Amino acid sequence: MTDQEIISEIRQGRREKAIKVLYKELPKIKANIISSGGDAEIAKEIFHDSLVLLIEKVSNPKFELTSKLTTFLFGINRFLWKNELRKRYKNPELEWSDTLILSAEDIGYNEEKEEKIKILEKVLNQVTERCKKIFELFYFKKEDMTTIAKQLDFSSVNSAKTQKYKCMERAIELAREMAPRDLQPNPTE
Amino acid sequence: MRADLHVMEQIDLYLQGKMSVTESSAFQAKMQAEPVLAQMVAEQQLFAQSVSRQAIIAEINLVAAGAGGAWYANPFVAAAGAVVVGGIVAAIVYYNSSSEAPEATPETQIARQVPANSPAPVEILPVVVEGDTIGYQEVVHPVDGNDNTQDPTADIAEDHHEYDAPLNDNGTPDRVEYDIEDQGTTGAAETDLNKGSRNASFPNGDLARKIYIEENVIYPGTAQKEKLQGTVKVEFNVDKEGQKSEIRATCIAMFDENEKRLNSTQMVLKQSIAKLFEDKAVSTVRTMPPWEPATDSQGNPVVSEVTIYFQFKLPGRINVYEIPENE
Repeated sequence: MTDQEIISEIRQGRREKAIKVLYKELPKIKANIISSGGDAEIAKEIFHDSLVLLIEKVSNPKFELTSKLTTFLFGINRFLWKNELRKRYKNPELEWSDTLILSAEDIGYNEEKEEKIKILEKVLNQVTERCKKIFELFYFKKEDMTTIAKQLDFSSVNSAKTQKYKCMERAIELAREMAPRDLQPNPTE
Repeated sequence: MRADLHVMEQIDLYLQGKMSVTESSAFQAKMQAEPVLAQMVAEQQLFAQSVSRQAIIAEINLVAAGAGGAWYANPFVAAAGAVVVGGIVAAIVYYNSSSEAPEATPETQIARQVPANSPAPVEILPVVVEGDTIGYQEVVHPVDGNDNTQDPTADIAEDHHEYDAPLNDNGTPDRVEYDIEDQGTTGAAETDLNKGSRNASFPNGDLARKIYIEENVIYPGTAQKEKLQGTVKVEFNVDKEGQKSEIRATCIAMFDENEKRLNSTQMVLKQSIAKLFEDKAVSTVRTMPPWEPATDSQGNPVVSEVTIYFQFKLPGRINVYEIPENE
């Protein structure tokens, strides 16, 4: 698949094939991370995070690729790994002597936002399966509420909507409650 | 529907771009006037992103689960196969091929002539060489009956030189840089294309080797407790089938936790630790999957000798590297 094909697959919601192609880059990224102090597990984690960021970025119709897609993926990966090392060693001056590191803006990475999303992801694991299903169909699959109500056997579109917004309200509240604790910066030694 | 639920629906419409231009600009004006609304919009946007992200992660995990079929997924099977097949094949092939060895091209490393039938003693023999170093003569436990003693005239001084080569000023190994632009295919695919002579290599290349080492080799516990680090030179032969034989290991240097090199007396005192490093290196090589055999200029597999170095670094890292030959 060419880069453009991968991008259009992602934009049309057919991510699986694209992910499969991009996943072939894992061994190289793994080796890179392992050779600079990481282990296989963190390598996989960071690789998955990079894939998520790449897919999010590419999904935006305004996104324009200025390099090879794999180069972009490696760039994101290096950024995330460097970020991880910074957190681990509390060394803000940690630099890799190469030009492939993208900046946070290039990637659309915002530490605070990422922390909030992490909390929301935790909260999402606590909502009922039915609510989760509604959210996924609505926000991810971009289905409209009429279809969702039918698909999930709601008595009416309105009851589906009510369920969705009540659930979401509760989830966001929960995230707010969790945020102050979770958003504390790492205690310095 | 409750009023705030209605607001939330409005926010969804706004975020999904389903409002008309007028509605949208009116909504924006309202957001500017009402910080509470603006915050709700921000939260809801993040919420939607989190939902999508979880779904993307689920898709990635699905692909990841399917991608786990690599050969090293089950090292035990690979290892068992290597040992069993190695015992039989290596004995035959190595013997047959030793007569062909002199014909190979200079690029190919040829197995040293070693008496094939010498029994393998199991002890370690410290060899004192002038200077501050002790050379250890590692003798492999006979598993396939084909391991042999190492050439005792191994040049220790050269070992120093070779050991120093891959280290940078801090005494840490240089980070290996990969050419991420052009590294498109796996080592296996290259094998078919590249018919020139080449050295034996770990299947799927150095990267796969690193990962294999990372996932399958554990730092010797006693060495970790005693806070000792070491570098082990491992030599072995790779036959035409990729089987390894005559694995020989020598601990060429040890360091304390402060990277201070042990002198000869300390090395003697810690020789049991050196032995642990050596044994670990040998068993790692032995249980590795079969290597890609070296090839001559016609692309035919030939027997070759490989030298790799195991670097045991505290707190528990193991680096494996080769010294590229510069001839």
